[in-house]
Amino acid sequence: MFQLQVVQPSKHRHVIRWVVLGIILLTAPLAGVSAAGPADEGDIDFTQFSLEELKSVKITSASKTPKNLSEIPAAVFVITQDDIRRSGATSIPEALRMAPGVEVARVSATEWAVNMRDLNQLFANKLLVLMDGRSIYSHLASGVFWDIQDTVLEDIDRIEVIRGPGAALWGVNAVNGVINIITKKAADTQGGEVTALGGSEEGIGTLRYGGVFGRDSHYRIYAKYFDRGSLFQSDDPIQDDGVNSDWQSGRGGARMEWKPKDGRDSVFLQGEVFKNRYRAEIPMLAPEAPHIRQIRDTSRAKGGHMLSRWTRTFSEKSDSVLQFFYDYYDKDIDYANVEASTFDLDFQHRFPFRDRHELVWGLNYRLILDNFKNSEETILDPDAETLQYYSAFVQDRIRIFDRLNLTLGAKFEHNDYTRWEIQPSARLLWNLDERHSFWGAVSRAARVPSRVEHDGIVQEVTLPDPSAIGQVPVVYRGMGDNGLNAETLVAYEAGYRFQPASSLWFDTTAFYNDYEDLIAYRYDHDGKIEVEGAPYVIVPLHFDNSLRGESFGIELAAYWQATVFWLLQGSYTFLETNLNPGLLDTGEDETYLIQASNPRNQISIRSALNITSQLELDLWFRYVDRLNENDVDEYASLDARLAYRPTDRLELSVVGQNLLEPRHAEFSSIEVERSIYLKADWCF
Amino acid sequence: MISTGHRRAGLKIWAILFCLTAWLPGVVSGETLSGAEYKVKLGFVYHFIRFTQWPPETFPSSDSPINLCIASTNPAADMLFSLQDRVVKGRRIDVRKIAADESLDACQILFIASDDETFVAPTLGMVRKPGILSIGEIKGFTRMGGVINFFVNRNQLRFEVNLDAAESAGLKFSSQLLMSADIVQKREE
Repeated sequence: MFQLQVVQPSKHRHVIRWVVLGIILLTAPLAGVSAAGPADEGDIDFTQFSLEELKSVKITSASKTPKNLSEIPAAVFVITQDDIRRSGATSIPEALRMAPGVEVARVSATEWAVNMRDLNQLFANKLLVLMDGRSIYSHLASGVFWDIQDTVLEDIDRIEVIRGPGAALWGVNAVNGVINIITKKAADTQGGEVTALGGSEEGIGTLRYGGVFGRDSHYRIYAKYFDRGSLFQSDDPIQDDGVNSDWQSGRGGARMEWKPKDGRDSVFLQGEVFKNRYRAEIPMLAPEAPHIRQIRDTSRAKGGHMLSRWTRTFSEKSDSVLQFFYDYYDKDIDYANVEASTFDLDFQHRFPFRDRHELVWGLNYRLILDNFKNSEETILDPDAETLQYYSAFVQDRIRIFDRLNLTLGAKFEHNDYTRWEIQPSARLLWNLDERHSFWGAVSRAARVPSRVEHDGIVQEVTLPDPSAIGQVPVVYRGMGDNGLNAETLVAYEAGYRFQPASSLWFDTTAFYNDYEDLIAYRYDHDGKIEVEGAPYVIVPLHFDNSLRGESFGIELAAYWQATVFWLLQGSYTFLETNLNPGLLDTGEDETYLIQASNPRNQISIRSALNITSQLELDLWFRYVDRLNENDVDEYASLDARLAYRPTDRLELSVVGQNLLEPRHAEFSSIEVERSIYLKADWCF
Repeated sequence: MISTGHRRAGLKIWAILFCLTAWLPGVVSGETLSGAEYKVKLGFVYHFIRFTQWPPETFPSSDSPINLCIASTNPAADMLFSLQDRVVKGRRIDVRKIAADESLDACQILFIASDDETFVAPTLGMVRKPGILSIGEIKGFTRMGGVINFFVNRNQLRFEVNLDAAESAGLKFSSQLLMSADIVQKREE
């Protein structure tokens, strides 16, 4: 995994052919649609219809209101429930592929690498992820355990993807961006819904029921179970990747909202428990050649959370929110195990001041208790730790002129590892007119070292060259350092949004990120340790802060409601990352090792077509450039979904995923297969 | 690796399927009609005006216009301006936008086009005199005292009527309107 491999000539020509074909396929209906009958509703005068006739008209509304987006001085993209349903995505990371600027790569059956604006890796440590305001970013490895984070996808209201530093509001670790997964209110999930999904890769069942109690309260209860198989493994023997398979997960939860009539208060409670297991293969040292054995093991996880939020509304522009959550998980990590409890108390207050200022301020306290069961490969010292974080933030949105807004904010946060981190930001928004808006921002953000970087000793067994028999295995021993500083970023962003017509809009962003004090393994060439009598060599690696880096890129999103029954959405992402000193051998006696890479170019085009009121056809084409550092080829994929709704309450769909190739690698040598599934969704 | 020939065959089938479906809408779009949300709402509002009887003292003279006031956080609602100068029951419709804190006294219809409760509740609270037909599009609008409320069911528009609020505003509805309403909140005995 650490080895630098020879870069092979790419299969560019083959992929370009797919890109061209994809574009031709997706735009082909233009010819048909433009010839269609009353496609343009512009010539329909609905005052000529009777009330009963009007009730049978299907309404179309732009699901993403660009108007609201044009008020935000940041790169924001919203994935709606409708987007999720029509994409055919069956998990949250898969749905995130829809957002421009986001890199999603399947690492194994149970793992995804999700990041933006930076090298992608299994634990993207500079991306903060929240579910209903609850942080699911793990302090242990600085990242998200995507295998234990899930919910009933049909109950998600929207996923807000905010690219760029959100640190002034969200605090440390919101360096490259923030993803906020927001589920629907219980009042909007009344009645029952059952979904059953089965296909070549997975089976999923969900059940949700929502009701009312008393005059002012709504609730919903839900349960979800899934079973996912293994991904395909390419012919090369895999040295560092346990092949995870037979992944089973069950979760259940409830949500309740209380909102008294005419009251200014509302209270929301939510709780969930989950249990997961999958079969893993873990590489272990063995006395006999080739000195590596794959040991089979069952990896288990369980946990849950409780969240409560009290909102008091004073006026349209003023409210306060008090939120508390408790989150617990217990998860195997190879032969080790971690238990972590998080208690979080958060207060926010928003109010207008004079008539030009909108102020928001807040306080947060977080307590994390963890307990680690060490294994030979992974040791934390101390193995149990109590960490506290407290912070305050303030943000002021100032209306300079009617069309010019300046937002100034800063967060002051204290943590046990690096003490105070101050994260200011300045954002300027200029709404030129109804159709054009510009914004620009400069912000600073910090990422605090993870528990592993601070206290860990992590060993990884590899064969230097998988094809070489008789080679001595190498054990990389990564050692944490409790003197590490936080990684810091200064980001410069600019954006332009253009809406030439109500049915068409474009959103473009350009950014430059300047990173300092990046944490990476330093490898000393003469540091090899030969252990007497042992059939392997130990290479010690030390974490330190000596890496600098930069990334820059362009993100484009386009949305076009071509006709009332046909919607096209596209995005293009360009991203270039440079680290200094680079990942390659610098000729000095030290090398830095990072297991990360990002595609330079990404394209996504989605077409959502309502063939009739009962029949939907969706196509989703994606192109992802090669990962140079991981030596993974570029790939193109096409997902297709056909859905039939015989009644208002029942939807049957068939979805084919990754149709262009039988299998493709996305991050490592483990490959994702072409697949198909059938799904039934019944409301009662 | 699978042979490219095999792969191409699979793709061809998808391509053919897709291009075929591209022509379908032209053939079948007659069976279901769809329209932009506010264009359809405009049709409804037009009929609400037709089927509502205001108290006689509402209008200064027999030819004074019907004032349709729009308070919105949704720019798409500007679509309702195409009702400007349409004539209903001998009166011209005059559409105007209402800014925050502006008096509603001249309005006969108040359409609050917003799903933001913190905007809707205070705007509705500004209604201080009878003779105003308030129309909303947010859950609980009739409970707040609104008269007619739009809601969406499976992508189709429906509306509910609060007869209590209508009565205290001195408004009378014809039976066509009440028959088409999905929910009619009767007087609580």
